[in-house]
Amino acid sequence: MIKLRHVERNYPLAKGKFFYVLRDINLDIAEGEFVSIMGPSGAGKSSLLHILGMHDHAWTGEYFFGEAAVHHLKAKERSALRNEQIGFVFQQYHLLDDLTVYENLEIPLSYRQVSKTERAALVADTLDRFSIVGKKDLYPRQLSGGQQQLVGVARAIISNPKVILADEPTGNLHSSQGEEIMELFRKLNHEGTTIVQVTHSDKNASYGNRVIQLRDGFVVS
Amino acid sequence: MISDFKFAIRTLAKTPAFTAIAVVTLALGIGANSTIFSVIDAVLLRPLPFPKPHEIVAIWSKVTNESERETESYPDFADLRDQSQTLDSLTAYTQAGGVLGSGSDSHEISGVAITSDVFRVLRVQPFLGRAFTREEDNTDSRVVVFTYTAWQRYFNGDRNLIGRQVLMSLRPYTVIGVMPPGFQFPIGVRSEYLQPLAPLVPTEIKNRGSHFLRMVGRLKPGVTARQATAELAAISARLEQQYRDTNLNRSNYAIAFHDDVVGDVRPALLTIVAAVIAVLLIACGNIANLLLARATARRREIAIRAALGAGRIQIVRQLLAEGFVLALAGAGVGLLLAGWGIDLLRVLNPRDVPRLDEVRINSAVVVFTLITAGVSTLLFALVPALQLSRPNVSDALQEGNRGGVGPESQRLRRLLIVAQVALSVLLLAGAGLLIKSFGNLRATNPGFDPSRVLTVELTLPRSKYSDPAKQLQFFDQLLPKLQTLPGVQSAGGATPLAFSGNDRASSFWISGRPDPGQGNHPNASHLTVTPDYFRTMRIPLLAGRAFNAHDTNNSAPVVIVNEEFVRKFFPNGNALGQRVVIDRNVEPPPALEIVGVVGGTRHESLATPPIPEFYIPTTQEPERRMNIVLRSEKPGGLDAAVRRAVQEIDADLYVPQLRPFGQLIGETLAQPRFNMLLLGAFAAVAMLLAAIGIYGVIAYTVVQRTKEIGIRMALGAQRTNMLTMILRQSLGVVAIGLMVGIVAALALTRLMQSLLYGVSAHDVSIYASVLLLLSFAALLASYFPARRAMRLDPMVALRYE
Repeated sequence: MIKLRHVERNYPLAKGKFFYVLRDINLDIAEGEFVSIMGPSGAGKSSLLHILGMHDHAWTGEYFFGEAAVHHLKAKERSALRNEQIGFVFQQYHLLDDLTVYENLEIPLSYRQVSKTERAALVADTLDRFSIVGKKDLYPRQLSGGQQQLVGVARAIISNPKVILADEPTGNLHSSQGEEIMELFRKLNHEGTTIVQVTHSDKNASYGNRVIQLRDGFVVS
Repeated sequence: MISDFKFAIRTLAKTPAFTAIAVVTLALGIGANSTIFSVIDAVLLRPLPFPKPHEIVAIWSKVTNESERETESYPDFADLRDQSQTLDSLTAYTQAGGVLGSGSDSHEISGVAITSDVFRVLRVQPFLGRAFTREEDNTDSRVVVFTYTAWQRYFNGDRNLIGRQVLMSLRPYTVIGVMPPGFQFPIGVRSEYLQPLAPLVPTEIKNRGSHFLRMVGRLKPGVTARQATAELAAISARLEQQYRDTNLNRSNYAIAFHDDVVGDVRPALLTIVAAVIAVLLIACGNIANLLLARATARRREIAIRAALGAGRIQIVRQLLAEGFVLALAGAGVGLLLAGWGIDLLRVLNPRDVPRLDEVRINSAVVVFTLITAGVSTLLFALVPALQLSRPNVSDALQEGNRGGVGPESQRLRRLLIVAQVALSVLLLAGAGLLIKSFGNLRATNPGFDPSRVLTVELTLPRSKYSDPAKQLQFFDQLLPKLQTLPGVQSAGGATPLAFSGNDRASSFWISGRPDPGQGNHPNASHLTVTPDYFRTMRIPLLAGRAFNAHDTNNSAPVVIVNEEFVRKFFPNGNALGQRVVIDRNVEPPPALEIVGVVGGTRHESLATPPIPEFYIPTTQEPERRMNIVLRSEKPGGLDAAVRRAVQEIDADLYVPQLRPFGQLIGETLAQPRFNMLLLGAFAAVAMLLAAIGIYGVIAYTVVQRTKEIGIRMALGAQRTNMLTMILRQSLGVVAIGLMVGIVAALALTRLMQSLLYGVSAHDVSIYASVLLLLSFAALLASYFPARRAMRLDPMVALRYE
């Protein structure tokens, strides 16, 4: 489903030199996999995730998402592909502070030109699925960290993406809340969603079926 | 306290860009206020330059149902002066002018013919020589007192001048005194000498019906203008009983001389004061916004101070000290700007703003500027300081520099934008109305065609030309010479000329109608013209005929009236052939036959509609003073030829420079142009500052919302979504400001109705233009930060804290 070939990402330094955060990445992720990207800080994990999420375009190499050659797509086509196929979960939840839980869930749909009635139905469905109906009118600051991340995951899957990219999704949660989220990922994965997570935690990695180790920008295993 | 200021200077020095922007913004606001205050100080606040100026009053006549500001006759003046118990002294004067010297060493000079009481009224004596006396008032005493400036300019300050004779309009006058430096009377009028009335107007001063004198008096100590008015009214009533022919319905009143001098200019100046206050408020709004933005960055510093034991008052004091340092720097630069502003005002030189030459940066202006700086500090620095002085220490220290100062600060910043936009609407609407009004004025047809008309005022000296036959002969010789000059199409003459600042009215009656008595006769503007005047000025002849060579001193007396005259006095339109009897000191007064009707012309200014006028041919009413008008093929280059033509007839005659007629009209537009330019400039500054304010707030909002924008983009928002989101937010706030501004402008611009011509204070097109202009400025100011939001890299934005 995801195929990277010779992907490299660098940042220019002084005197015409470059600092490489990712080097010669070759990677295949099949549909339905639950992959964990691990490695020490600065290894390039988040950079890799942002390339997979099509937020970063300043890389070289080849990236195939399904049939689409991402490296040949124009910005607009890339963002359309991303909106349709990819959901994000962030370590800091990144919920919008001034919007209620309901409105936070509605946002990705509004950017996909989903009609208002359909949006209402999808949000209601998702609230129900994640058992957060009672919290729909609360603001993020009125929720616990675990509840906020639950909303974050709900938001990521609301438009039914094929892939969820999660950047240390339990990094800010205490263990029981973290487990709850990881169970949720496992459930989504069993239902067919491909999941790629960046994590430091072996325990979290054990929820998946494959680990990719990064070191100094290289895939080492 | 001193350490607060030291720290403030150090803090501001660390952020030079912020400091520079704040100082320049404040300098614009404070400088505008200082400039206008210097004008207000000189014109409205500073007492007139005479001892005990509050005792000096102007005395006017009013005629029931006709006029509120009438001049007075000499016999009436003498009665008022001699009978009044409330006035310490009273003087009467009329403007005079002539030529000093003769031949090539001659100068056109202006002065006043005035009674000797002036020295007692104004309590000023000559610093060299002596004043003239009551005895010299009533005899043909050719004595003159020069002002200090004239003494310097024409006589190089020669102290031996006293007792010497000088030629004034070719008559010898004895110089008896020089007034002290700084003496200027009348206020705001070019005046270089004082002379007794009798030599200038020997017959008029004996005529109770000849109203040409302005009066200025000094109240006795403790007497008010109101008490003087009551007494003057009683004296006027007695005079009315005694002299019904000339004094019917006439009454006198006193008003403070200062109010009389500045009266007309007050509404315009107050409008401009309101404008500069608005500019300062907008500038303060911008600085407050900048400080609120800085507050975010300084939250940690303030939290550390609080954690170390600084009380709220100490924090506020330190922040206010920073504000005051900014305001002081702004005031310093503002004073520099004010100096240039004053120079600029002098260049604009509005004719109707009196005492403009007295405007300067003095201690009062400096004190005002310092007070403005202090008030500005409170306006822009207090609220941000109060907000910042309540830090949540633990949050701020944990978050470091992150985060804003909360929704309260955001609301405040938006409120400031609403206020700035509203104030800008107010100023732009005011400026727009004045611009349209000025455009209307310029487009107003004066009733004649001033293009390529040149004019020159010739005054024949009484010494040579006291005989009307000689006056007639001179102009009869001159005009044919002028008409044949190369490039001249036609030449005429008139007294008084439109737009020359002179006018003359005479009372008259229509022959054949029941006579209500001389005191009840109506007035009309009275002009004496040569036959070719109408052709030269292209004033249309609507009925009958123009004057011609057959209208002589020996033929039947004739008159031409304008259409306003016909409309008012012959509503049936049948004026031709009717006879007009003008009140003159001849018995019986001749009845003049109306032989023609011409179009109405504007006389005083373009804003003053045509009034009833009648024209008498110079052949039947010769004049010593005549404004020659020449219609030429080219706009200039005739000076030498005209001078030669005049001096071929009389080599001693002084010929001033020819002036294009458009210049005369332009001078009457100086005041509205001055108002328009000032308000326009301040409105432009206001709009610029408001746009900078909007830019600042939106740019700051984008920074504040960077993370949110990143999230939204990560969740699928298109770049255009971000652009419209930011623009919508900005323009929403601006729209509220526009609405508030329109309501305020509709309410407040009514107050400037007296400054407007041909445009309503609620003119829809102006308000629509202001809305469009400000919306465009706001759009532009919001677009750049919004574009930055659009270009944010979501990956970077998500990492942004």
